[in-house]
Amino acid sequence: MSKKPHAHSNLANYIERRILELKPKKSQLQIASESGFPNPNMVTMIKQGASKLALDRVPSMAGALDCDPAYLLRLALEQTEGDTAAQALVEIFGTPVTANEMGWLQEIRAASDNSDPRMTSRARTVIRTIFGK
Amino acid sequence: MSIDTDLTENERAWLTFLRDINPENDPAPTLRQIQLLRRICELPARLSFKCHMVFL
Repeated sequence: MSKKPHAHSNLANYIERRILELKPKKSQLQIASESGFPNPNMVTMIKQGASKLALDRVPSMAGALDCDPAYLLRLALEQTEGDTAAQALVEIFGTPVTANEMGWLQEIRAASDNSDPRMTSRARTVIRTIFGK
Repeated sequence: MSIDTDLTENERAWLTFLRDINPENDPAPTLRQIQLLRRICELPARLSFKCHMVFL
């Protein structure tokens, strides 16, 4: 079995990126401490995909990484493939929506006069254009 | 924090698409993007109004 089963997962990539972005402001050691990890190597293991991010660490790690906890929770839930408890959470409660995503939905509601527009192929093209993709 | 079961089915579809095209980040809407979105969403309304006028 691979020693880094979660390498290249969205969560591992995101944490690696955030650590780099925060480098001028705080060290990885500080991030580990603020996240509540007694062993600072844990952040390295999560970043490299050797270990999963435990769901109960999401709020403190989101605080340490200065990111939306809903986003980090969604990435952590994605990573728990095969974990029936996490799957049950998503099945019952749905996926967490970030503040930015709510911002997008509010803009879509305002732009469409609250008409609850369908996601059509034209809408997809529009969104791709908006994001330059 | 909200959860997506609070949303309509159409809103969930918008959200899913937004997530699919931005898998590695959580972008905030910028002013430019909002302006583009509004312009595009207003277009069908204007067209249907014009069509409505034609049939009056």
